[in-house]
Amino acid sequence: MRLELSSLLKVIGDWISSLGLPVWLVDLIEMCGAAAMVMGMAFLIILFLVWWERKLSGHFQQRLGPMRTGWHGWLQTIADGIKLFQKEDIIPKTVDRKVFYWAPVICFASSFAAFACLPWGKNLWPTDLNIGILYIFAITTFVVISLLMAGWSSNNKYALLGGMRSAAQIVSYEVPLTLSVLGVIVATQSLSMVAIVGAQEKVYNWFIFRQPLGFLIYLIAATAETNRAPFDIPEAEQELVAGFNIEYSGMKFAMFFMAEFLNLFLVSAVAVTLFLGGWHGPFLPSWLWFLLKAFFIVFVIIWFKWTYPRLRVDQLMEFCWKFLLPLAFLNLIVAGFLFR
Amino acid sequence: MADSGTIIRLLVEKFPSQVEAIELNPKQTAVQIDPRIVVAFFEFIKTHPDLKMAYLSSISGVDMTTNIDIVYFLSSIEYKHKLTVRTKVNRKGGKIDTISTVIKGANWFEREIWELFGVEFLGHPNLTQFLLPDDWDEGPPMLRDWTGRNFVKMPEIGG
Amino acid sequence: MREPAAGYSEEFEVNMGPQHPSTHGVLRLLLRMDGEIIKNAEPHVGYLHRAIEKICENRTYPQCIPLLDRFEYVTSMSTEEVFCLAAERIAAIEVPERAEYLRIIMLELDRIASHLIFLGTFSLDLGAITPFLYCIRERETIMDLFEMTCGQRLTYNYIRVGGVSQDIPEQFLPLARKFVDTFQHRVDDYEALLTENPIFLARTKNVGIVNKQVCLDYGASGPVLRAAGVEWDLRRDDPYSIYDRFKFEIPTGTVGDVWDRYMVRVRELRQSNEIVRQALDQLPTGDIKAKMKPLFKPPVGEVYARIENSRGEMGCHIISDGSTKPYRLKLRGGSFCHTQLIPEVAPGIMIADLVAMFASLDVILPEVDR
Repeated sequence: MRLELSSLLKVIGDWISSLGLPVWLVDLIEMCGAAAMVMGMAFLIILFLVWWERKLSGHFQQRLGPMRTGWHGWLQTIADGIKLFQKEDIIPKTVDRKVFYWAPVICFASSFAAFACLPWGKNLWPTDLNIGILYIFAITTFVVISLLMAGWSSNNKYALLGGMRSAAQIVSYEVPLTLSVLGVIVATQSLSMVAIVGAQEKVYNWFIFRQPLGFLIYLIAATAETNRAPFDIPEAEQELVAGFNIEYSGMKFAMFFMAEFLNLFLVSAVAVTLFLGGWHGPFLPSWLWFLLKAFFIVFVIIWFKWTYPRLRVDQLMEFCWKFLLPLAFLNLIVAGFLFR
Repeated sequence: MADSGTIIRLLVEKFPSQVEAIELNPKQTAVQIDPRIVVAFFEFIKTHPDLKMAYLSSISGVDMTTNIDIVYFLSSIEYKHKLTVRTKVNRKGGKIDTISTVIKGANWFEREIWELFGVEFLGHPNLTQFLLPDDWDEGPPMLRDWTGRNFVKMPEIGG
Repeated sequence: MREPAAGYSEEFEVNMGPQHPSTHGVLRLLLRMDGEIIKNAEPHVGYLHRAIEKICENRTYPQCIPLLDRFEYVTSMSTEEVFCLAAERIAAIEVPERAEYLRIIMLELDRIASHLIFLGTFSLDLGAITPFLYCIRERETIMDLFEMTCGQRLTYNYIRVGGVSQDIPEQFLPLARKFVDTFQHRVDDYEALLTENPIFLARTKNVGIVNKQVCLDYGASGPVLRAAGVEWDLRRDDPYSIYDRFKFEIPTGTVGDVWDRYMVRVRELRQSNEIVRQALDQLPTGDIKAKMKPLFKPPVGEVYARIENSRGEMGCHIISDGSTKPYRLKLRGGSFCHTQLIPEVAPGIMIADLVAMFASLDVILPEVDR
């Protein structure tokens, strides 16, 4: 029997409407419920990803990673969270307080807001915007503003350099990112995430086979968008001592940290939706398929980080503008012909 | 490759009364020179086709209680021969020309000797605080009779 | 050389260090920058000055050796060797055969350990974090070998005037042979991760070029000089100990960029492995220390001894006045001259390149500061 969460949620939804409350209250309850579920899911994912990255990096480096906090260290993230929570929040005297305060909030909020649009399984999406993918790219651009805010308000040369580098990088890599996705949109004639998944029912319809170049460009540009190696110049420890978040400590640092992992999952989930058939798959429940595919892409991106050295800032820019961008245009033209 | 005797002969011929060979234990090619010709001397041994000693290994200062000795060690990459050059300067207020115009690598060696022994190198581009703390006020510490605030002499062992 | 973009831009000064993850010690680099491009880099050293030379004037010769271990702690064996070589030359002491072979084995293992640290920290500075842990894994075996011989993992106090302090235990030879046999494959592993990687090549080729003339002017030595194309190795060109009994090549580079310095050291890893293998094969039996009086009192003399360290030329100038303590002890490490290269090479490059270049020079600050 297929365990479908959507039927369970439908039952709950019907029960709430049968209580005889005013319509706006029912809507409010349903929206809050959905938001709470997505929030819960987001935190669970962060919990899992932090632990998983540490275990994976450990095994790549011939060591074990966390082992003592729970079975194979699965409680490590909770331990880290508790530690960061009770750390003293050091705010240097010379920072611009309001901007300093709001930067991590905006970073976290913008990454999190994009989760509203992801199709988690069959009939399991918080909302089906008909401009879904455009909304996701637009809202994650706020991350750039928050990084610039962090770099500028810290009143620190290293932070400023880090913030500027990261802003330049993210803004540049958005162009090939969007172009690579346009190929898929041309094929499905729709910006809605649900419709895109719907167009990939059969395995041979998956866009990774119909648009392989687009997938590769997307993967590379997405790694750059999330500031991960080999594009992690803004956080290059060895050069700028943590770049834009040099002056952040305690809970604020934790928010940047969580936002990075949310972003990581987000780009993987979008890759799955656009190229790997979303939640389609035999035997297992649809939400399980979605999660498995998303975590596979996350694994690949983590693998990149622990294998490759880091590109220099100007090489990064050259790579984006002189190599990825022409390729993305080429891909778009070919897609236009193929899917006309 | 010039052997020890040839090297010394060439040097003594060029600077007749200002360079003399000295004997050291263990045997090595060593000369003592007058401090006033130091720049011309290093120019000569760097450019002479049979010597070509442009590779400076080290410059040490030695406090010989009556004066300060400055010892240069050079070798040649092409010919693989070596030379030890000694010269004397005054203990208090000693001055000698810098050779960093001839051999750039002498820069930091001379800076260290200036700081630790108090020898001034005329014409040096950068005689500034090097190894010692910025607020050092106890005089050149490597002199044998220096007694700083925390200096403790170890007890003698044996003879 | 890069020119900054036209238009108004302000130069600013950035302090890199003294606490910084990639300055390999406590070095303060005062950078004057225009955006990402460095106009001037001034090294400020002296944070690790411990007055070792002054202290050694007040210690007997055997008492100096543990102190000299701390002079250059990554390759303590070579510091002890150069000091003992100088003292033995003054006193005209003949070191027994077995002691010479043991010294060579320890020195070359030390060189391998030092180059592994270089490899690890160099790739760490470039962002590839994994090779560091692989290199540390190999180094653990070498540390085990040292620990079973002299009891220490880092500052050995092993090589003494006239020989070595202890003989190797029986577990040493099998473990050393096993290490020597597997090490070639491990070096292949590291090369597979880095040498052909396009990102690595883009970060290291034609970056931070120190050409032959600059090297010779500043007295650069070791891998830095060899990477610039000069085939100068003190083990062959100013022979000491029994290196003439071993066959090994001297790897050189061509241009003197970061990649050349990296490749020279990787090839030296293989060559040192060969030397250890040959020494293990030829190891004779015999004394491990020359017959000497209990209190070492060399005659009056002065000598400058130099050996080929993993960083370059390590020199020790000893003046003896006939007593049990050296009258003057001056040490010179390769890093002293290499740190001088920074103001020469830095102008016009970007900060990421400076990090790569400085990592490739393999500078250890205690050598500079003493």
